[in-house]
Amino acid sequence: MTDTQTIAETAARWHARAMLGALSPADEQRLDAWLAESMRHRLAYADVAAAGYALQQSAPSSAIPRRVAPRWPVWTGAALAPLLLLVAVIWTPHAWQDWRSNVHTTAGALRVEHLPDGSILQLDTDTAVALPFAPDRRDVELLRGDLAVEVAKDPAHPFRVHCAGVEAQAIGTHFVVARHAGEIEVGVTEGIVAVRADDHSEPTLVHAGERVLVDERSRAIRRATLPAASYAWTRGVLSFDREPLQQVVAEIARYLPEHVVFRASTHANVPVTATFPIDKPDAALLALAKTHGLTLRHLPNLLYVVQD
Amino acid sequence: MSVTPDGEGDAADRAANIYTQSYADLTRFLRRLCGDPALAEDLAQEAGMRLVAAMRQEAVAHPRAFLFHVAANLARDQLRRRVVAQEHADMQDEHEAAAGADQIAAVQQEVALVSNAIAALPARARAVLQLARIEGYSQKEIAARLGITPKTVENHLTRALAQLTARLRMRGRQ
Repeated sequence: MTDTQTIAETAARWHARAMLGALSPADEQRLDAWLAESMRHRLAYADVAAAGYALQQSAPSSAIPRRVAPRWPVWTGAALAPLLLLVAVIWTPHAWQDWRSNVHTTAGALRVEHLPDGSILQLDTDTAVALPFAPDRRDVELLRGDLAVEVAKDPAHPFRVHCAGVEAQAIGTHFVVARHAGEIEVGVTEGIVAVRADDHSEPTLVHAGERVLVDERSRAIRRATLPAASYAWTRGVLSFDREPLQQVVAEIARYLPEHVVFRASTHANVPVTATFPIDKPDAALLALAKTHGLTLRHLPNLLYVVQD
Repeated sequence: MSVTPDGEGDAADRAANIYTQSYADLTRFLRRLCGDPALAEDLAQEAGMRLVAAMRQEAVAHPRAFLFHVAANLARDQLRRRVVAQEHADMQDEHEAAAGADQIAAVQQEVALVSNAIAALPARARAVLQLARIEGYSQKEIAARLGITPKTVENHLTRALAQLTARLRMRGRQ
């Protein structure tokens, strides 16, 4: 008997006993020890396990073998399409932005970055920033997400944040640049920021308590006030003031690696006023679901479902 | 990450339930197979995605067994690669092309192969398989029903599993 055959039979013996529920805790330890001996043992055991699970799925009447060959080319093609779709959902399209950036955060991971000139950058969830920083230049590029800047005073060297062709130049200040859904927002909490939507136009001055929104395509600039609770994330919390539930869930979802499915349409517009710590988005979802009589299901690493 | 409003199908829902309920067992099984907890979680997640995809596409008769089967196959791909890397650093991995291939189709094909192979087994072994594949039948119960000793039950199942596995491995080499 060859070595491979011996390994295959040992693996079959172990899995037979596992299927029959005949493994004592001591047996399980012996099995684990045998598996740890060699990668070949693991592979042989995985092969037998696959056969065992194939067996469980096989037609109940073993006397009538199922025919395969004619059907199989048909479902090969059909099987691929939904598979690719799913992969696209899980695989973030942000990989290239992360690669271009010097600093980035994933979902739920906030980050503070101290720059050589003493300025401080705060990155919100799922944000990427490139730092083409040189001794004589203070330029930062926001590729995606939300960035808060606390600028160290140095009038000789303007501090600028670039975002998809929009430029925000600080004049001694505290401000936030955010890029979402085709719109770039520059909000100022302290001092003044000069915003240019493109290379040609005159800068728009944005003062503390104001913000501007620039359309990424048309480059149109729209002024707006800055609500008092804005940029709560820079203080480590998520704050909502009478915002619709579905929107609140969407905002919390930005801090989770999982996809979130909202399946409680009758509750979508219920106003929510609440403040959650930003580092526990899962607890925030659970609290929201409970207070609204909804259920929250979690598929580890994959999905949260909020439903009636 | 993001939010999807209403409109996911019932099938995806059922798949999600099965995945959630099986997650602890599935990761334990994969940890045992691979001896690598991080890999076990990755593979469990990937198998979960395949289950959702499969159930959206058509009815899956034994979703839990399907989930574990896909997981075992994903582990086999990984382990095969490691064996090749260890033992034949100079050789090309002949299974490489199949590794990324359609896992759903692979499972269906293996189930069909096993169903066929069962028919070729001796009647007593077939009877043991019939009872063993329905979870819940203990070794003693099978022995009592067939009037054989528990040890003989184990021997039949071991031999049958070895033969079915050999059949699957043969396909892998084609």
